[in-house]
Formats: sequence, C-alpha cells, structure tokens
Amino acid sequence: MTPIPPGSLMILGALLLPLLGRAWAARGGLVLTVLSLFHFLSFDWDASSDLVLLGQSLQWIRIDSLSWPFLLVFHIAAIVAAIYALHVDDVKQHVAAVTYAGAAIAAAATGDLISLFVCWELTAITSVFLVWARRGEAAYRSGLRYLIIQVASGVLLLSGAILQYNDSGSLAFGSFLSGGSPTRGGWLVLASFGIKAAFPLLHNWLQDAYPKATVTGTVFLSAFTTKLAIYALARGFRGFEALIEIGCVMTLFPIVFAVIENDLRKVLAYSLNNQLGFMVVGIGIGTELAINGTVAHAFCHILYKSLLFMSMGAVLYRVGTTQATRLGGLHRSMPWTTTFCIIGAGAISGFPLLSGFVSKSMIITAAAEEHYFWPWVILLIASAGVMEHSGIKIPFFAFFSHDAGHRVQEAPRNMLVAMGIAAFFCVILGVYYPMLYKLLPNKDFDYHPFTSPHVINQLQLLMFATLAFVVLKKTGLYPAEKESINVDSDIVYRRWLPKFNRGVGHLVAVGDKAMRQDALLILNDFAVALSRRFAGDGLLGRTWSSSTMTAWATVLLAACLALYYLA
Amino acid sequence: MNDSHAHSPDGDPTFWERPGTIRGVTRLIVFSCIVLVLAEFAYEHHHPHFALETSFAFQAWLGFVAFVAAVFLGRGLRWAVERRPEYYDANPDEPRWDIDPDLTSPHATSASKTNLSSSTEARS
Repeated sequence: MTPIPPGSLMILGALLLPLLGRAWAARGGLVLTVLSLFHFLSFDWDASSDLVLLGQSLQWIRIDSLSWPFLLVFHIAAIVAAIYALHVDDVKQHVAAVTYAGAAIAAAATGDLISLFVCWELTAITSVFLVWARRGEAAYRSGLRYLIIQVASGVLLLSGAILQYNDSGSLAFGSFLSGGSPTRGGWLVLASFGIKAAFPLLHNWLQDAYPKATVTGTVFLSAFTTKLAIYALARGFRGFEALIEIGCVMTLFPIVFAVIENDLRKVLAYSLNNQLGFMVVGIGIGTELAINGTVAHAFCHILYKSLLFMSMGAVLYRVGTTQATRLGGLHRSMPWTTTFCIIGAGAISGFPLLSGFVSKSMIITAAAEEHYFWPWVILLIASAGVMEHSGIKIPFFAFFSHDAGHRVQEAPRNMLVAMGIAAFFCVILGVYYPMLYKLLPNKDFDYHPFTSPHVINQLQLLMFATLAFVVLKKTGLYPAEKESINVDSDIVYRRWLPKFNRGVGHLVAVGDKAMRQDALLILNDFAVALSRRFAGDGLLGRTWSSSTMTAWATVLLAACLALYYLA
Repeated sequence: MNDSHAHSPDGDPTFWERPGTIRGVTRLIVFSCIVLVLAEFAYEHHHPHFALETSFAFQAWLGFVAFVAAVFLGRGLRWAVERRPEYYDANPDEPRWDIDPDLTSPHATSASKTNLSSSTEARS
C-alpha cells in the first residue's frame, strides 16, 4: 500500500472535526496531532515515495536528515499548541489550526515543487482563518493583507517551478543554485521563500497579522510558516552568500523597532523576525556547522517562541490587552505564567543551560570559523538586542515594572500545561544538548558549547546588556512605553500606495473633466456656427437666385472638364 | 531590577516589589558583571578568529554598547515612525471574544475589567 505523507492525517482528519461539535473539537484536534506524530515516527529516517499524477512523477514523500528534525519539531509544536487551545470552543479555529499545521508538515515532507506549492498555498489559506477568527474590522483587513501576500508567495513559487521545469526538465525540490547563484526559476523561488521567511521589506505581514490573530491562533502561526520557509531556504539555497547580508539586516532592524513597540505580542513578532535572521545567516554560510546551527536554532526557536507567545496569550486572555502601558505587576496574579515566560526569555536570550545557548552559538561560531568578520560582529550585537526585547522587555513590562492593578486568575490549566511542556523542552534541550545534536543533518561534527571561554563570553554579553538596562532605567534614559503605534514598511501599501492611487484617480478625474468640458465647448461652437449658416439669412439657409445657381453649375462643369483633360 | 517607582494600588508590595529586593537584584547584576570581567583572567583565547576577540572583556563592552545603541536608535526611530493608535484602524480597541469570558461579561466586577475600561476611557 502506498504510504500517505506525514501531516495528511491532520489535513484530512480536521475536516471531520465539525462532526465532533464544540465540546469535543479541541480534543479531536489534539488527538489528530498525536496520531500524526506516531504516523510520522513510523517512517524510516530516509523515506521516499512517488506518486504519478497526469503522467508526471511527483515525490510526495521525502524524509531525510534535513526534513526529519523539522517534521519532529513541527509535530511537537502542533501538540503543544493544541493543548494550549483546548479551552477554545470555536470549531472553525480548530479546523483551520490543525489543517494549517498538517499542511506545513506535509510541505516539509515533500520532495517535488508541485506538492510543495500545493502545501505552501494550503498553509496560507488555512492560516488566515486564525487571524479572521479574532473577528472585527482590524483583524479582517489584516487577514486580507496577509492572505494576498501569502498567496503572492505561492504564485512566485509556482512560476519559479515552471521556469525550473522548463530549464532543467525536473520538478525535484533540491538546490536552486548553479555556480553559486540562483537559476532563472531559482530567483522567483527565492522571492517566494523570502516573503515567508520575512526578508527585510517583505517582512511586515508578520508584525501586521500575528498580533491581530486570536490568543491561540498566534501560537500556531508563530511555529510553522516562517520555519517552513527556513527549511525551504536550507534545502534550496544553502551556501548562497547574499543570504548572509540579508540575514544580518534581519537580525538588526527588528531590535530597534522592538525597543519602541508598545504591544508585547508585536514585540515578539519583531523578535521572531530577528531570530529568523540568525537562521538565514547560517544558511548563507552553508557549512556543515552552519546548517546544523540553523536547524538546531529553528528547532529550539519554535519551542521558546511558542512559549513566549503562549505566555503573552495567557496575559491577553486574562487581562484583555498586551499593551505594555496597561500592564505590570502580573507576577502577583500569574506566577506560573511569569515563571514560564522568564524561562522562554532566558532561552531566546541564550543563557547557558537553556536551549538558545546551544543552537545560536553554532551559527555565530560558524561565521567566525569562515572568517566572516562583520556578520560575526552583527550576530553578537543582535544577541545583545535579543536580550533587550525578549529577555528583559517582555517579562519586565508584563509581569513586573509598576503594578497596573490587575488582579486576575492564573492562566487556565491547559495553557499552563502547554507552557510547562514548552519550558521543559527549553531546559532539556539546553542541558542534554547531545540529544538535539543527534537530530541534526550533518552527523559528523565536533562542537562543544560548554567551554569556559564560550560560557564566560556569552554571560558577559548578556549580563552587561542587563547592566545597560539597569543604568538606562535608573537614569530615565530608557524610552517610556507610549500608547502609540509605529509604522513600518506596511506604510507603503497601507498609506502611500492608496494615497498615490487616490492622487492618480483625482488627476485622471480632473483631466477627464477638463477634456470633456473643452470638447463640449468645441461642439457647442460648431453647433452655433452651423445654426448660423442654416439660419434664414445664413449662407446655406437663404434663398439663392436661379442665375446664381446656373453660374455656379457652369463653373463646376468647367472645372470637371479641365480636370478630365489634365488627367 | 524592578522599576524604582514601583508601587502597588493595594499598598502591599510583594517580595519582588520591595525596595530591598530591587536593591539586592541590582547589586547582584553589578556583582556578576565584575566577576565576569575578572573571569577574563581565568582562561586564554586559544584560537581567536579575529583580533577584536582578544580585546579585554570584548563581549562585555560589546553587550553594553550594543544595548545602549539599540535603545538610543529606538528613541530616534520613534521620532520618525510614531503615529497615533488610530492611524490605521478606526477602532484599535475593538472588543474581542477570545479573551476570558469574565472580562467581557456585563456583570464582571473584577479589578482587571475596571482597570481596562478606565484606561480605555482615559485614552478616549
């Protein structure tokens, strides 16, 4: 019997969730994700299966050393998020979430571009419902923008796949590089992957849509789309050097935006963008250590980023807002959420014994080993920046700082369990890191994160960044949170283009009006002239004498005769 | 590390809000920074990749400078990108259904609801 791809159980099973009703749909979703994990684990480390469709052989299952860790962590993230969403009685949201996670898993398990395109678009179409499920005008509009951008990514992927097939005769999803730079179709595919990986200037769908999604929807969203893009980039563009520069920019600019952002879920979205930058740099470097670092970082990042989004989701659920200006002192009411958030913050910052330390450092070391000086410095600066926005700002402003007076209940039990599992992974991956390293694509590598210089240097970076925060806070130089929003590249398509469009429309309308008025004036003058000619005393309207008529007829006949002879 | 202006509407500071704790945490941070700088003498850079790596307490000063630079760049950026909350959306505080039903219930009397609505009113 032909095996079905990992994730397909979730995609197909989600269609049956409405039959379970509001009370059981959430549990059904959780069961599906667990079943899908067992289904995936039943495959070999190196599995492949082809499907012949319309005479074209498609490799709809391809599990290898690169996709395996992504498939595993996607399943773990889906299970954790499904537990986190157990209290939600909105069936549509469960259907969308489980299908979305299943589509991302199936996408990472395909070996051809057509199957990838189908799953790629399915992740776009299903995930938008997690934004729309929030309801309201803002979420609806944000979801539409998100959908347009995501579908555009799919269209670029399909166009690239067609060009690739035209040029090489193959639809296999492998490297798009030829002689160090992308092929003709590869450029389009790179743009497609770049949108989903939130490359600079293509990034703003992330900060726009994720904070507007539902409490639980954002947790699902944070895990899959962008990391699927990272997997795809690692598969198709490993060693493409331009990615190093792109990744460096990605690590830096979100830090500055995160400093002044008031919505803590949006701060996390910027932080996500910054973390993707580390992975993109790793792919650009392309050495075995760098690719291992990228995969390890994606693995750890999915879990600690989910944890951070879950903790902010719990705050949003209980307090009704994640605006930093309206939060503070929540450690009183939500001690467990506070603890889990601090673990997530420590993990993303890269504190030793937590997961970020053992993964991020591989990418930085790979940059140093390949003598990329500026990328190395930038990644270190970005690590200090992570400490600012995710390590300190998120837990400090939500749970400590000034007490905003919220006396709420601790997060629901299912949310605490989900956060507990994610926090457990953050610790266990940081302590028993060989367990993580065994999952990485390149098995024969020698890397030890817990050396004295490395631990001391990392602690120096983080503790002096913390000291800077204390100094700036004490001296009043740290910018106060403000009830405002900050525009980003989205201003181009949310303000400038509509304004430009309206301006062009106005110009066309003015021109059109002027032209029509002129035409009417000309027609009017013509009509007046005509009426004057045909009036009783006009040239053509008055009565002529017979002799005049005869004279003119003779002149005309003479002219015809003359012309006849001349011709 | 708490805000020096930390206060509690209940007038009953928790362990983390007490001035003594805040002072203690601040001292702990300063102390660990001193220890980490002194730790520079405890190991050798065996295979430095770049000359900068061998500068004294390189990652310490880099961490401090990078953090301060990020904050000041943020302050500068705010001048350029800051807009009022309604800039894009007519009603950024739309009611949402996916939060705790206690908060949205018309009979809810929790302090949180009071706070939330009062802050919204204050803004409007």
